[in-house]
Amino acid sequence: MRDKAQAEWGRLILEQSTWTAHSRIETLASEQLKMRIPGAAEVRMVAP
Amino acid sequence: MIKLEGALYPWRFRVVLALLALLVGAIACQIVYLQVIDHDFLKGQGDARSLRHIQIPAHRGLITDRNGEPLAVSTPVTTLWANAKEMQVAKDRWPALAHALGQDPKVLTARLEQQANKEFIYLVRGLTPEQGQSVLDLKVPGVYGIEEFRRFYPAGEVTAHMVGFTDIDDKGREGVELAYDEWLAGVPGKRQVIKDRRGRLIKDVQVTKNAKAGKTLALSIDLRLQYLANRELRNALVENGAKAGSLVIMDVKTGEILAMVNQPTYNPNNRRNLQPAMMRNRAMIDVFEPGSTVKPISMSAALETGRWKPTDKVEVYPGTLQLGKYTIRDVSRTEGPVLDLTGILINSSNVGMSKVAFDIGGEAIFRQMAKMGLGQDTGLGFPGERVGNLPNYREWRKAETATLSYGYGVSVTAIQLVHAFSALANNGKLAPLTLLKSDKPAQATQVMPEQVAKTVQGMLQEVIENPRGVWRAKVPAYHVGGKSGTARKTSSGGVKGYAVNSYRSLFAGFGPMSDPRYAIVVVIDEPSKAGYFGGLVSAPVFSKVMSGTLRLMNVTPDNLPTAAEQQAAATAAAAKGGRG
Repeated sequence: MRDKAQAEWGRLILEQSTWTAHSRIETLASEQLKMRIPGAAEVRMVAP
Repeated sequence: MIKLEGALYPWRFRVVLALLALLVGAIACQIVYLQVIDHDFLKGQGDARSLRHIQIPAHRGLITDRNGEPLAVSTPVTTLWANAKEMQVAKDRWPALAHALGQDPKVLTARLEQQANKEFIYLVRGLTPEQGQSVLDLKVPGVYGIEEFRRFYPAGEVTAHMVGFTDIDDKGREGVELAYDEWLAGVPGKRQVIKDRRGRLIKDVQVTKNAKAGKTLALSIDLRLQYLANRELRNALVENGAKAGSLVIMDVKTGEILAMVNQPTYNPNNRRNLQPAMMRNRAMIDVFEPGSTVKPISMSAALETGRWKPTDKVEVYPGTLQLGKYTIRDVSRTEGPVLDLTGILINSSNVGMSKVAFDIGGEAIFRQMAKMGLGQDTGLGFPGERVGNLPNYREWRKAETATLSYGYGVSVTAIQLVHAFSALANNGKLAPLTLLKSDKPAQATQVMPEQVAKTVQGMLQEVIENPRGVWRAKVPAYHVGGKSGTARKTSSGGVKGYAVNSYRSLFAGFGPMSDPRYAIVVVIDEPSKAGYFGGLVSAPVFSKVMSGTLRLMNVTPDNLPTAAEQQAAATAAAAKGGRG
């Protein structure tokens, strides 16, 4: 029983890390959501 | 009682009776002997013929990064094996089996025919438990399954050198998997079963020992930084047509290595096309002459003597210095005939550095480098790690003193170089390196006075921000400091001296200058396009990686235009607009 749960957990962990792979997120963010890193001039500090 | 009187031969009867009694006695003795005295031996022999212990594989511990992201995960898989002898009785089931295994029926049949007298052959290894069960459910005679674990590396090639890998028997073979094998491995358990002569399972008796799962290991690396470093290094290699490279990011306050990447790399999940060159964890096993990147360390030794201050002047004209038959040369033309110490670093003048070194002596520089870990054991215990070489001389002659001061005649690893820079960044305190996430503050040792380290920090900031400096290393919105270096590679294949046109481009630096936290070393091996100077090839990589690191680690920018300035600019623009 515990083994089964552990096996399932291992598979889920793998699945999660496949979906959240940095290269994938980065592509999605920049291509689908058109996100980018703001330049120094565009950054405003709210609190010092 | 039978009457014996009147019998013809009473003694015969007695003899028969005695013999019978003796037989009964003998049988009784034998029963007692077997059941009581010899019991254990016989039971043992019986068990030896039918009772079997099956190993229960232990779940290998997880390896994670510092935020708990998995880097190595074990999942159970089913391996199917067959007793080919047994299988011969049900040849009609073979096509169905082949179909379930996804193999060509003809190929499988040929294989089973050929190995018909083998009692153990692998049919297929590493199926998912569901796939395995669906094949076992066919109940083809002679087909069995065993439970095994397979290691998966979700981050793949990005963490390959750091994490390493295990072999098919789940033992660590490389990297952290090998270095911490005992911690990760766990203890396999035992299950008692009864099997018949053919090895078929009759009955599951009991679990005699539960498998003890391995422990989780949290590494010091941050997967986000690791990805960033890997991407930028790979791009730089392609851009410069370089052969190989490494990049290390370190937290100077805790001594933790936040990222360590090398190129070329490999996919640990699929090691079929593995070449030895790909497996090299270059940041730890490739030693090189650090060249100009150690000048700040030599400079710190000079400042520590108290005889030198950053504004002291040294004549570097005419850019060469003759030492017997040996000539020290400045690689590029310097700003002027006389430089101050900061100027020597900005212009990376070998002549200037050597003159300072002659004044303080080679031993002072040697001691400073040794204290900062160059050519010394890092204590990480990483498989295959090299120590490098920092030579000590009984008598420091001028040639040795000069070459050491600008980073030749000494060999280090990228890890050692970043470690040495961490002491400069951490106000003179050297925290021991670690590959594991640490929750305790590091036991750092003061290797140089705080004031000296701070002075060198200022000089290194100037090296980047001066108009003549390494502007390619600048990081938007932050002040950073660093030093580039270019080292000629020694030639290989038994030829003495340095190879022609084969260089290593180096950059070592840290930031943010308001409170230095992250040190980065970039090593790019044999860039073949456009140039080879560290300031040209490695500095842009430093800039990109440092910029990403400071952003990801939520470091407050220390070089933004102030809110007032931004406000003023906005008001000015608005006022202009209003008037227009």
